[in-house]
Amino acid sequence: MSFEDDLIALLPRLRRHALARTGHLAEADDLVQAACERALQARRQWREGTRLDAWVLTILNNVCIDHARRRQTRGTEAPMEELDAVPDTNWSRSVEARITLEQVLGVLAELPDAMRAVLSLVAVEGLTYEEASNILKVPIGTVMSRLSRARIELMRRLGSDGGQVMNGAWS
Amino acid sequence: MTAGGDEASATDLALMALADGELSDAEAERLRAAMAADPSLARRYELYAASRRVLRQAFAQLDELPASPRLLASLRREQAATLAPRVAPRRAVFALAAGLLLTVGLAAWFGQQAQRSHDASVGTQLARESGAVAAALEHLAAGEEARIGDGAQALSLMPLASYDGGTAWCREFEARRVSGDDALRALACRDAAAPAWEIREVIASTAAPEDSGSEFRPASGERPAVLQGRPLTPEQERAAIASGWPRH
Repeated sequence: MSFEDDLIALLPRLRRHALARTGHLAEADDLVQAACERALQARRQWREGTRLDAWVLTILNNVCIDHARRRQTRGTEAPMEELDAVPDTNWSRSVEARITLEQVLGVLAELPDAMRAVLSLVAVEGLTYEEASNILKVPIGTVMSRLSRARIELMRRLGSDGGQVMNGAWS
Repeated sequence: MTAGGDEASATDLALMALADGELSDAEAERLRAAMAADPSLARRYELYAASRRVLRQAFAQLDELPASPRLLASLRREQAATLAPRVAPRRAVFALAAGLLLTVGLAAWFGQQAQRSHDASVGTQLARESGAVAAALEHLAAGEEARIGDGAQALSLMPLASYDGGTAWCREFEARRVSGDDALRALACRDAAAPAWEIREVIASTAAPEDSGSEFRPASGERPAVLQGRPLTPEQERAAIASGWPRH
């Protein structure tokens, strides 16, 4: 397999990650394209035998951060410290199965980008905390506390959308 | 732990690590025993596990959408040209206000571009070949390429995705210089009132800021609303092409 074939095989994962970060498919595809261009230009920096997915996700993370900076003035997301407390809500497998990608993206859009990044890398892409820590260049402890916070926010907000009550897991 | 920002407790983080498969067998076993004895721990664990399931299930829905043919094509092109030196980008003289284009038909729009600039930009080239461009938009599936023009000026045109805009059919397409890096991405629509493809908006082009190299820069403003929707599936697109983009 050539380098390009390996990149092509990664496209679905890159696209999921970029979509989690931007919320819009066409925009996500643009970011993936930019990341692929950078990866192709820097291909000599990738050492054979190391993981290409982690390397390209690192590039994509940088592209996403640059992109977020460029459009910062339009952002509606809450800063990490100022997230509203959302009432506890109920949860059930039947609610869970009906959740759509649009709903999830709607909630992700309200979270800080740093939270979207860990949710995508660990919960969606299944990377380890250590791998996510290397990609995002933050300590593992930070990955874990962000991830915990992000998941609680995600579930509360999804739950409150559905108008259910979440059993007071955190009461 | 509250949503207000308290640090997660060590127990919470351990429960999360269990849900993420980060614990050793021995640690996992100890925690499962604690959960069996304390339902509040079990509920907190379930929240972490459920969030993982929800996210995976939601993002799996993305796999139903067609892959971006533009991405595939650009990687394939790269593969074919691995050893060829990259041509320095020519800066296309091609800036325009997206809003001006709303009511201008394809040929008219391209004609204006041709009059306005005498350089070899992608837009000018498209203008000279408006008939071929319209035919390509009418007949090609997303990801298929047509050669527009020939010689050093030849362009490759590829529809990227098609959308049902309610009262119009719309297609995002890319035109790229075969022998260089100049490129243009635009949205063309065809509505029932005027069943011809017309350019609605230039979405991105390699023209503009000084240091932009050959990377795509978005045109100013929001992406057109129609592109925020779901593209047609390959089957829906095939049907639309086969029936000549029927009236809504």
